[in-house]
Amino acid sequence: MIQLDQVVKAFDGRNVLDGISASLDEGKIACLIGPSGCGKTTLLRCMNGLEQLASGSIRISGCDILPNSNRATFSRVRQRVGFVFQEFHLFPHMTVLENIVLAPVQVRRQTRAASEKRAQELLEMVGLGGRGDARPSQLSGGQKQRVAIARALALDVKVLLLDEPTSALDPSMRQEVRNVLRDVAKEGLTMLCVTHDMPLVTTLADEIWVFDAGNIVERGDAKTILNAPKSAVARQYLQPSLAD
Amino acid sequence: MRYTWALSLWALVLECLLVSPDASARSLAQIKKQGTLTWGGDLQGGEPYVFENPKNRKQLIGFEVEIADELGKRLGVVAKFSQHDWSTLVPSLERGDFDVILNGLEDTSDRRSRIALSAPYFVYGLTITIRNGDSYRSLEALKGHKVGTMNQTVAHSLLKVMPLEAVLYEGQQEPYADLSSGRTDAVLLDHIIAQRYGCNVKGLTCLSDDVTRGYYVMGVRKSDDTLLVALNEALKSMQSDGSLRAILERWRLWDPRQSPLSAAADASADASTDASADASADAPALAAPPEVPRFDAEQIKMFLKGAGITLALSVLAFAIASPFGMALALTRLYGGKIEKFLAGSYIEIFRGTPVLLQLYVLYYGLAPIIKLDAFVAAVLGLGLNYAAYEAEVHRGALLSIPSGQSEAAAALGLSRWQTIRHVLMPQALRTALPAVTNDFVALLKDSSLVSVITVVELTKRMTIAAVEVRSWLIPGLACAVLYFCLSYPLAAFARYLERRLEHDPARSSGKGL
Ligand SMILES: Nc1ncnc2c1ncn2[C@@H]1O[C@H](COP(=O)(O)OP(=O)(O)OP(=O)(O)O)[C@@H](O)[C@H]1O
Ligand SMILES: [Mg+2]
Repeated sequence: MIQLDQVVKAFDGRNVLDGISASLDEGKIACLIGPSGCGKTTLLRCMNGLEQLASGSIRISGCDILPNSNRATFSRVRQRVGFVFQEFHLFPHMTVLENIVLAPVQVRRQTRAASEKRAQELLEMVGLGGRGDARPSQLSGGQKQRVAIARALALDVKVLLLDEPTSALDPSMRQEVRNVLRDVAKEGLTMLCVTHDMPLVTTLADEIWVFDAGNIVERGDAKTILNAPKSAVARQYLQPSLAD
Repeated sequence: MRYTWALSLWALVLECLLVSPDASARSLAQIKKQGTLTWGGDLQGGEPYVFENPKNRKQLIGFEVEIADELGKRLGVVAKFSQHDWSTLVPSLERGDFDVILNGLEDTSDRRSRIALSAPYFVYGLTITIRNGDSYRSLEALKGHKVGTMNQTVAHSLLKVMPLEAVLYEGQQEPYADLSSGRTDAVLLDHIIAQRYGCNVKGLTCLSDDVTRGYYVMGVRKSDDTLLVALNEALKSMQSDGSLRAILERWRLWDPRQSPLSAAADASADASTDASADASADAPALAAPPEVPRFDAEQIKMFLKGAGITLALSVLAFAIASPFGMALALTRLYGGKIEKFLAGSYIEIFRGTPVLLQLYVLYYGLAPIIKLDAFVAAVLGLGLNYAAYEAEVHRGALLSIPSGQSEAAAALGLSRWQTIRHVLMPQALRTALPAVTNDFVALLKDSSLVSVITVVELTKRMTIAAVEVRSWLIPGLACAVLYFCLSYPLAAFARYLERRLEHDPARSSGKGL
């Protein structure tokens, strides 16, 4: 479902992604951990065309992303791959429901009625069934992120990319988002989730990818790595969480 | 000669802009076929030349109106008036807005080189006005003193070469007000103006000897030679059958100065600037001071009409400026290299040059290519100019939207245009709304500039009335009140929007959305 082959991305002549190769099977969930600035967000953004590759290739949900990929490719990718931002990025001038139906109506050309019906189902799933008419400004952070998740799923994507979905939230709101993501995981989506939120890792992860300085330094089954991390980076990030 | 609104600089610019003076010449045959002779003049300060009848505003009266009607009759056509700022009469004639200038146009060699001039229909004398008790009796005696006159007049060109200080005014009444208050020592102007605005002022005296005399003549395009011949013939017949004299007498303008125009006078008198000095020196007391019209309900009605034109003009211009400005802003931000450059150039050029100049170019400069109606040109001119300002307002608003918004839209598969249409533009419009409303208020006031291209809106209406009633106070106040009534609700609305957006939680939480 996701296949990374020698992915390189450079900013200002510095390789932020330094030849990454990895793969993730359909229906599996991988959590990415690693120190700040090591390139996790950049990798995720490369996977849906928000950044252009320098070299290498990404195969995701049946689409091939190459360094010279154009808008048409990205448009196909984005209709199959959902993206959840750390900062939600809801559209403040639209209601919750309008946020969710925008892409189905505009991109997929679905009828408004059908889109709203599906949007309502998604809102129920994230536990906000009654808030369709609310404005984003009237929601708490956790609620906003749950709307953002519903919005990312509205095109019935097969792959979901999440960039630290709980880190902009007060600890008190993190649990509701974790619960929603746990329910989403049950739908059989393939998910790649950057996070430092250890409870989230333990709820979601089938695999853990440990990142450092633009490369994957350790990758494998979640239980194995959680119990016996090999790399120094993994130990630093995973051990404290085992303590509590 | 009379009140000039625009600076002479603009007249100069204008001349450079005129591509072909003969762009739309109408032959005499065409005038006869259509049955109308259109003549150009300025109603402002128009008494006794051409002005609105104070008792019936729809009717134009004045000695030039009667002369035009009489000329029309003799040519077998109807004379029709066309309103233009006095300072723009010559370019407007060349542009083809009307057939003939008939409005206190003096015969000068400068004019002769540019347009064709007819035989004279009136003799003016340049009159010196001084304070009672002062002893100056000639221009020579005024050496080293301050002498008031009006810009762009023959009197001014005369004073320019004298060793004295010429003080220039745009209006007819102000020179005499300053003379009364002692700011100047004398005023040199046409006897028609002097009699109306100066000689009857308490404490002022008009000298009986004219400094010099000259002719009022008609002006036509040089290419319209058959029209000129016909006009001259008609004028000559008016002169010989006494009807010209009758008209001037009716307006109490016939005096010894006019003897060259009498039926008996030698018809071959040629039109040189220096009229013979034969007219007797006992000319003055011929005309009783004319009645000064009052600022009445009729005037107020005209003011309301002017306000209506100002409002219509502003609304229509803004209806162009706002969407076009948004399009420019979007192009400048998201267009290709060439489009970005073009939009940027447009904005910089239209912001970097005066709107007055743009109006002139649009109305006069483009006339040989496309002859826009004055109101259309005014709407377009203001709209295109303000579009440049709106573009920058919208660009600022678009830039203030966090980049996460367009990334979120892109991540959902929206195209560039869909992102702009559904995500960026609605948010930018909200942010820009207070500034946009403010700009509309500014446009409302800037719209007074269009009087230079002959649109009579509120401010122009005020200046016409002010000269007519010899006071700026009441017309000025009426004008100010009307502008205020138009702009205050808008300004209040802008402030309300600003307050609302400030307290809008959707804005204050900013990037987190
Ligand atoms: N648009 C950009 N231009 C230049 N450098 C960038 C850009 N985006 C990211 N970088 C650099 O690339 C590196 C990786 O950034 P990235 O955001 O992928 O890190 P991260 O692993 O997500 O870190 P964090 O845990 O802090 O989110 C950083 O050093 C960052 O400064
Ligand atoms: Mg990051």
